[in-house]
Amino acid sequence: MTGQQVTPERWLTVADRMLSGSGGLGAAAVAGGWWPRACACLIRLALEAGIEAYWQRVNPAVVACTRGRTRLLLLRARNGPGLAVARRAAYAWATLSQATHHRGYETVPAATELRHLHTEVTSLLDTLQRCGVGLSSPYRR
Amino acid sequence: MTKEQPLVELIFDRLNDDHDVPSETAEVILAALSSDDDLAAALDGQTTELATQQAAAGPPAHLYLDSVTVAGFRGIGPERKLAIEPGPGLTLVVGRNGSGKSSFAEAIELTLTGDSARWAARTSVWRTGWRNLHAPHPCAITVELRVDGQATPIRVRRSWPDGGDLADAQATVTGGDGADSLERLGLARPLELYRPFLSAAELGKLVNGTPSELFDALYAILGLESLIAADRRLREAIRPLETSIKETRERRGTLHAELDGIDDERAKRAAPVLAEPQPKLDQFDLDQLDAILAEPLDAVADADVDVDVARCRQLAQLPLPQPESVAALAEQLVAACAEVRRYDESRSQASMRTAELLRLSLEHHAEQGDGPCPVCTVGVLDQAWRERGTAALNELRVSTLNAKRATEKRAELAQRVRALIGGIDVPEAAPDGVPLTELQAAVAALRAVPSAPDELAAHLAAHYPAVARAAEVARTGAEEWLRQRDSGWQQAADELRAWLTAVRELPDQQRDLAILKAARKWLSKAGDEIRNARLAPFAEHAQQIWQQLRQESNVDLGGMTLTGSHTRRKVVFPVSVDGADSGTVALGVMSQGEMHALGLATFLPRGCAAESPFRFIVIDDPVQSMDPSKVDGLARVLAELARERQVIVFTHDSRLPEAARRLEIDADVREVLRAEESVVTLRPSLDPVRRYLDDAWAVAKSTEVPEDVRGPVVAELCRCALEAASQRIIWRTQVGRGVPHAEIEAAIGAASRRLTTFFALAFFDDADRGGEVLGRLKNRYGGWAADAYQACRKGVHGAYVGALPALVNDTRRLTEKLT
Repeated sequence: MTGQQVTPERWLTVADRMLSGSGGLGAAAVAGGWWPRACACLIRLALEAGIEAYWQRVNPAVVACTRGRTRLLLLRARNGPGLAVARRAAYAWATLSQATHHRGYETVPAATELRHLHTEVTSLLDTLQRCGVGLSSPYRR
Repeated sequence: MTKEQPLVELIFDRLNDDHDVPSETAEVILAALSSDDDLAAALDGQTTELATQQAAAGPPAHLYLDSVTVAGFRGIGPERKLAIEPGPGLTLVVGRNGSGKSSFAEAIELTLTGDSARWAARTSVWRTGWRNLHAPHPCAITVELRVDGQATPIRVRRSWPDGGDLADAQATVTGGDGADSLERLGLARPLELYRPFLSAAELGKLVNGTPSELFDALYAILGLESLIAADRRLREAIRPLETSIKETRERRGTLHAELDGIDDERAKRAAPVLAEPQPKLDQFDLDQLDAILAEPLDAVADADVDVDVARCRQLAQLPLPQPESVAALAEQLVAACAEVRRYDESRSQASMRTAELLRLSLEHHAEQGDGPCPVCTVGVLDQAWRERGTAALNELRVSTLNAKRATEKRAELAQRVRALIGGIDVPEAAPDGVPLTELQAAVAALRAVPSAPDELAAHLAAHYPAVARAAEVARTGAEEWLRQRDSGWQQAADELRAWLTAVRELPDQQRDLAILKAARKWLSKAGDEIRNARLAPFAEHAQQIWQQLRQESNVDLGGMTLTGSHTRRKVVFPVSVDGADSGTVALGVMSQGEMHALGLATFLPRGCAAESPFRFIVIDDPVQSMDPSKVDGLARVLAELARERQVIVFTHDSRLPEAARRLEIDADVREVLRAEESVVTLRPSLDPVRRYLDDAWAVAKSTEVPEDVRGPVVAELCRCALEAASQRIIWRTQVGRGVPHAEIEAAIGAASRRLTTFFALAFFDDADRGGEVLGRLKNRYGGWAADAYQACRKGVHGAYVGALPALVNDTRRLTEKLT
């Protein structure tokens, strides 16, 4: 499963290159016009992977038996990283999810929105990583 | 009335048909439509030029938009060109807010109107943010217009120097048959009239603008400005006449009071004539006033007063030579006397006798010849003597002549002095207060002239200054006396004279006023009729548009009319809610979306007026706050317009393109994307299913995208394609069942972006039968379909490991089968 081996950072790096239009990838993405959805997809993958990594550290049982959306919702649980972080993650996920599904009246997200989401997810992943270290030791096994 | 008949001709025909209009009034109406000079001439009864206003160089044939190229402006960084098929049709430019789509719309409007001032005044955001942040230079916009039947397009270019302000644009126009400006092309005025640009701000005018702004915007397109100008000319001609007539009328009262207060017999006779106001000013006994004014100032009936007046007048005008010239005269006389003394009288007698003797002796010599002197008998009269004698005789003759002349001169001067003294005529008496005695004494002293001419000169020099001084004093006194007695009447007479002149002009003025007022009334009534007749097609078009846009709205719109004038002008929309007439109040009960729709209904007919040379109309974001059913209505309205017009719509979401697709309206849909650094891309927006699949294919085959990243991205795009396909089926099924738009949208929304639910809805029209989807796919299309479906669902999370191009192909095949 190649996808599983990709780290969240890798998704974010590629998304950034597309978003800024830098390098061959960025230029191709911007010229082809498919960068907005691809970016949204990669940022969302990064967020999902980050949350999975968090549960992997904190409580692997969550990863084993729940779906992506449930893992996200469980961030609100008492042993999660805190309500504020859970809310931010939920908001980012919802926005990205909206951008990566076809919806009649929505057009693709603008570069600024994607940049905002990219920054937000980067910061969220960082937070989750630190939370995972600090708070989760009792559950680790 | 689709084709506009020149207004003057229209009025002319109407005047011809209206037999109740007197010819002078008709003349004035036509003159007022022409010019100020003509109006003045018509009132003077002179012939008028009636120069029919030449419409500035006729606007060119139909114009279509060919392309707009923008660089460094607003949201657009590096240069991008939006090319549009230059002919009738619907073009939809779709892009998120901030994608740069509105920048294109604004660029077209700014470049064609060149009205940077208005733009700069808009908002501070505009003032500071009109230049692109990432690529501020070069900053230029080029709009190409295609003229019907011309090979070369007209290019209108505006560029801004590095660091220049919005107003610093350099404009160039090329290709328009040598015309180098929009004015020369005859487009400036039509641009103002028809404004083929509808921005959200423009539409907001209906809600936020003043009633008169809306009135003016609509009135302008009716081509009736010359009516307004004519009305202004008539008003301006009426005003001074009314003022003048009013002033003349009011002057009667003040003049009467003034005359009544003057202690003068003539004023007393004139005042009663003006005592009562007369309905017509020319009914006053003007002749009597004339007669009073014509009486000479001196010929007054009262004899006593008359004598005094005459004496004072005599004193006031006493003809006295200046003391300087009198002194000069005295000096001349003194000189003449001295001259006379040079030729002493006695010496003069002796020399005359000597001359006589010499003359006789010379005669004697001439007859007798040389010989002894007959007088002395001693001397000898010979030739030598004759020569001396002739010379002496001549000398004597000259001196005698001079003496005679000097005497005559002295006599003449003495005579002049006596005449001067005798000519001073002082009245015997004067009214009290006029100092006369001193003058009389001085004159008496002067008159006591000595007989000797020498003494006469000295007498004059000695006594005349006293007379002059006394006469000055007496004159001042007399003038004062006259002024006191006369002041009231003199001034009043002048005023009365002026008033009489004004009164005599009144009949003419009143006639002119009546004609002008009749002309204005006629023109106003005819103008209203023409105006509403001309507005009718617009009003009708607006109603049609509203009918399509209103859909489920309970607000009905009647034919709008323009009412009032000057500061009270406004547009009236007769609006009824649920069938009940609510007048114009209903504007207040309309929702934002309805007001927006009403704005479209009001302004679209203007932008698409039959007379407009612009065959294109640019509409920026008409969809805001419209509910879905109105969007369908809008799509229909635009499709209707697009049959004859080039309709270019910029819209921020895909509701309008979706509606167009659903309604099978042919539309050229473009997508605007703006990446970071303001890199804008424009690409044709295919139907969304194809769009996703093409993108998926591009990513799958791309060597630039790292392999590990391709999988989820391709899977996601394929999933989106399936979602779009299934949603299309859902719409088709539910619209067919008669489900309202809002409910369909709600159902799709409730499917919460799950592919399974979408397919359940698409296959079974039931969101709860997601469990049957896979089986259905397998049974109906085969295992590959079910596999592709599963790959799309799972692959987005990074789980797909198969060959990506194959996945895209299978997905494409599935969407084709589905739809």
